[in-house]
Amino acid sequence: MSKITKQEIERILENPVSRRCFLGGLLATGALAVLPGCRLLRPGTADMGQVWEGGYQTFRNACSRNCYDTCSIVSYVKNGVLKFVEGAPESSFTAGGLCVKGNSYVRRVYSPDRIKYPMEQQGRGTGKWKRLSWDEAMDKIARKILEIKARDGSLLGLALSKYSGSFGITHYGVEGMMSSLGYTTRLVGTPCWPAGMDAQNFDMGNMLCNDPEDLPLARYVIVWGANPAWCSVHSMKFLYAAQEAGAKLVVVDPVFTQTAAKADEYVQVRTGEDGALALGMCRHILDRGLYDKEWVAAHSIGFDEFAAYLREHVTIEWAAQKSGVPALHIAAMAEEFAQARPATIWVGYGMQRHVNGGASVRILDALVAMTGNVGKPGGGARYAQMQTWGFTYHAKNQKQPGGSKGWIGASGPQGEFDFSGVKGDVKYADRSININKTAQEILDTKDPQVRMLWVACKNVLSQDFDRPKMLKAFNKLEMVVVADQFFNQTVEQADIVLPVTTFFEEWNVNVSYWHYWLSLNEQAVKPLHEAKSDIEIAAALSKHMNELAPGSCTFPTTVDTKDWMAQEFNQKELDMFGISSWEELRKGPVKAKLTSSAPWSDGVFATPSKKYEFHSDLCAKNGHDALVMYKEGRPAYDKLRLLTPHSKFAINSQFQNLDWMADFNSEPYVYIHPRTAALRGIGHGDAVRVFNKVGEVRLAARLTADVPPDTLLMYEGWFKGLAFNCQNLVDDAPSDMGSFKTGAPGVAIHDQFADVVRA
Amino acid sequence: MRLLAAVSLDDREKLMADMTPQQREWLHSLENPVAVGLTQQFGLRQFAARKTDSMVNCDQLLGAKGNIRKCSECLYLERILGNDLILISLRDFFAARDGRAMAAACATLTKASPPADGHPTSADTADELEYAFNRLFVGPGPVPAPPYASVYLDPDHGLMGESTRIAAAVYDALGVASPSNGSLPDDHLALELDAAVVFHALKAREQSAELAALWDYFLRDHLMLWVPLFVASIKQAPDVPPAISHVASLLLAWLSEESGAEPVAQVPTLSQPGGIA
Amino acid sequence: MKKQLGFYVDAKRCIGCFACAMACKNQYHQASGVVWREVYPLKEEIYPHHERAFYSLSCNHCEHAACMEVCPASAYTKRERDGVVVHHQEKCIGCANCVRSCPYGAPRFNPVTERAEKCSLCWQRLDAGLEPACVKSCPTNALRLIDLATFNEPNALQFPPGYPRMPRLNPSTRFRQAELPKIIKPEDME
Repeated sequence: MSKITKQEIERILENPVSRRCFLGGLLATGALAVLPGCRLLRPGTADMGQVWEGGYQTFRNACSRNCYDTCSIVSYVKNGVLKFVEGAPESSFTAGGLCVKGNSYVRRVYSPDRIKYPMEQQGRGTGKWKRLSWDEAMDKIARKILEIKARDGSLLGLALSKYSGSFGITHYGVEGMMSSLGYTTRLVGTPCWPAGMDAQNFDMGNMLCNDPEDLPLARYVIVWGANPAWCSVHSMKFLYAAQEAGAKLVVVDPVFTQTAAKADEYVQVRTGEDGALALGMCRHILDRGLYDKEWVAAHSIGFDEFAAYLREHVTIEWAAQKSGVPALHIAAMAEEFAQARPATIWVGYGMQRHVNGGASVRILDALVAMTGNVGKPGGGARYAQMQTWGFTYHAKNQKQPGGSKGWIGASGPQGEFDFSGVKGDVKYADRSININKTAQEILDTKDPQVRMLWVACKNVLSQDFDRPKMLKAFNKLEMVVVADQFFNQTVEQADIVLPVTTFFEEWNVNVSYWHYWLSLNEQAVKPLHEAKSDIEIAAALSKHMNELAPGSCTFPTTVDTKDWMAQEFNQKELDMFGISSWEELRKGPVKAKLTSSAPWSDGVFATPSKKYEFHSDLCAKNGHDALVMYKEGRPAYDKLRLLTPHSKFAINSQFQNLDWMADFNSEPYVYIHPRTAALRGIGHGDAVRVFNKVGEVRLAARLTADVPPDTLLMYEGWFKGLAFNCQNLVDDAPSDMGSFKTGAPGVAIHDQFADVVRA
Repeated sequence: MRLLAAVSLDDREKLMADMTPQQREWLHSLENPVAVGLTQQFGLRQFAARKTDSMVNCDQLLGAKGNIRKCSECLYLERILGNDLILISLRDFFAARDGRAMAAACATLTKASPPADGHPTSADTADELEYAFNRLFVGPGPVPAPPYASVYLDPDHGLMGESTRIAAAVYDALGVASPSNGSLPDDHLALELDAAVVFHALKAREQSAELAALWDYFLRDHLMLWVPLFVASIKQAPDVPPAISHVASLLLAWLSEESGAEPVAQVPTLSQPGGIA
Repeated sequence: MKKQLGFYVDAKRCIGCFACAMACKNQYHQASGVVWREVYPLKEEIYPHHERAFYSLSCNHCEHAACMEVCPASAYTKRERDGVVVHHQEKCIGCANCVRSCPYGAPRFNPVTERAEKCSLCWQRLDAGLEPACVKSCPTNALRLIDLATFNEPNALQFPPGYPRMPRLNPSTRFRQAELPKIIKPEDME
């Protein structure tokens, strides 16, 4: 017998035809019913699935992260395995390239760290896990739910914490699952943007922003409390185009951010005093008569009252003293802004994470409005938009089983994505508690208390505020179920973990809250291990609920993610994008057909008066000042300020845990001004302890004058295997606004204080 | 739990001839009323033997029958499957989903090949074994010893890599496939050990240069490249129970014996003391 | 001049987002710790802020590539058609001469395969009419593929501050420097 070489074997294995013939007459495919001793492998079938020789299969995917850019993705698959990803070239926003996080997706899908199977921890936090089959997991969960129902007479003891971990529209099926079980407790609100959302609603009647692709039309751009160089990298090319066309780019921020480095001018403002700075500009513009008198007269109410307020309470000297920006510069900036045609402000979410955040956004809105920049292409107070989110929310809108008892009393919106709320039995409702005070709410809520927590698309113990309080709150919970992909700090404290799919492993559809593109998400590969999509989990739970107690859950017991994606489309949404069916999206993402790149271009607002409201009665009805005006910041309760903004290497607690990401960013730091560090004997790279009334964090220090001397800066996020968590320092103090549109106030995330010593 | 074992008719007749009437009776009692399948094409007689709860218990069970020192099932497996008993139990261990299955496989392995240093390996409860198994191989957290070839062989140390594709290609050449069809990576150790079982069964029946070459490739250019690294990962991990450490040693020993690298502990045969009375 | 491909690193547009570095990993799945494209923050002596300006560097596809000169196994070749310096893994004997000799640190030693590796300018993609993965991914068009034979950017530098000056090697990378904004700070924040 001549010896067959390794190279020959490899060549034969490469080719599906040659390898099937290789053993020739020895055995015919499928002939052996069972092989001796063999227990796992099965006889092969003639068609082993698609086989590709050279070339890749491509799929359309959509990044489902909470990000301005919501990229359209093209996935390259070979032999059923995702090989690499690129940005879709058809979208002028994504323009063919993804960010550092998007480019790491292949590693995310195939990371050995991914949670594979449902598992149950034997004692929370012990690290002793048993594997469950899906049937076993659903059975345990269903029994617990029924036990709660029997005990309390309702399912108000079951709570859902869910937010923005995945924005694929069918993930609202988790809310739908809760509804299909009965009336439950919902953590409502949003940590993200509620104060500014309310403010824009009071001022204009809706939160709408210019198409970011019209930025090149601007002649003066202020990026105010936002850092697109880190958090919206695809927007940068439009800012550059504006600069190249002659626009002046100004960045206003307490920190010299990456975006600041790319600006024409960087203006350092005292944290939380953005309102004062903007009011100073308004006063100067008023004095010089540089505001748009015609526009203000035709399209607004309350301006005279605002003008009177400015004359009485605001001077640029006062603004300078409050904000730290020299008075002469406030005047210069005001004149440049008012005289540019058009001018625009990118209102950042960071800027409104303060006790006066909503008030500050109202002031920035006023500055844009009084200068006639609202409704102008290239202009506007750009914050966000949700008008492209007009789906059916079929996944979300499930009905409670008949006879369900729930909360009796006033109930408001359940978060900002509560579009077409199905109010079934008007007598009952879900019980809403504040997502931004999750820990306190779990501790305080009673009749019934929160007994069981379902966590999906959220990382409670990494991202929610006041972590020490959260750990206490978890002690009250009888069962914690977490649906996730990685063993994060919430899974560490779970009773049952359920493995979920990445968007490559399910069908879905995505839009952005910034740009105006619509992206299809095709299923590119099979779910890995035993991962299921959130709606498949809901279906599995429903099956078990109904087996144990018929009629206890109305969620369908089987779902097809493709079918459920298709059901999210309605005529209005199709018309907005000028397509006749979702199938057209297979050819690529599509942009909304806008009559103007600027909302409010017709000067007709959605306020009660149909005008821009410098004076808003609705605002007053919600407990704030009717007139746009200054609001004081939060008094300091410790020696230094603490800021915890977003890292460029992560989306909140996602991505940083991947080893590919750790290659470029391996550990967290706290950034300290050299003078402040010197006073404490801290050198560059020293191990330090940052501490305050909430808790403490230990990490290494880096010294830089890019942060104010009175400020400590660290980036929020989750590093694999590190105990680092900035929420050990952040309390749950609310921002002023947020309840109107989202059911709960926001959080003063950037109004925190702490001190630091060498560790 | 059903154990499927196909042996040739000749072997079975020979074995039965060696048995005492009580043993033969016991064997028949296992067979009834169990399904017997037949694959005419290859002249094999397949039968399913109802397994006792675990191999550990078989001695106690048979003690009651008097002179029989090993249950006939063990006899079969030892005689017919020989070294494959270890292979099959290794496969069963790594395929196990719960502590009972893990403990059963461990027990078989320990009986077949007791640890040289006499360390007790049954001290851990099935639960403790399960927690450790999940901590080492499954999750939900990152594991020190992921049981997939691609993690050790492919440059990015991820799943579904080149090595996974090679394993799937080898199964395809054998005419078998993983039932998960793309969800469970094909290069999971349990599947690869199952493939080794298939190779053994085929080689026992056929002399084929192609089969020998394919097995040689699978063994030397795949299994032997990653399994030792996998075993090393286990040995280097903290808090490894002795039972699992012993399984890892047996895995390495099996591999060594297959490749003729170095001598390993002998699998007990019928001629040893404590065999047929 | 013969066609010579290289990278144009526009540090004025570059925001240090690392998309290029990760695009390379996305394409080639290098082992953890083996990085072909790095994004280096400029020291504060050069750009007076902490990690706010960057040079994204992989291989410079030099005219007289040091790696080629010191390789005993002829594992490097420079393509006639476009000047791309290609590393041939199959010939590499892992001596690491190239790793030691390249002043730009382009070749990296892979401790698992025990061979060197480096950026080969995605030559397979180039031959298929596609852009290099890193260039395609850059969201600000700060990283571009240029042909030195036709590249005409009067303000481009071959040896900007912070980049080793090796005229004999004649690296093919060209740079535009980062700029600084006018900074308005409160007096007490200086």
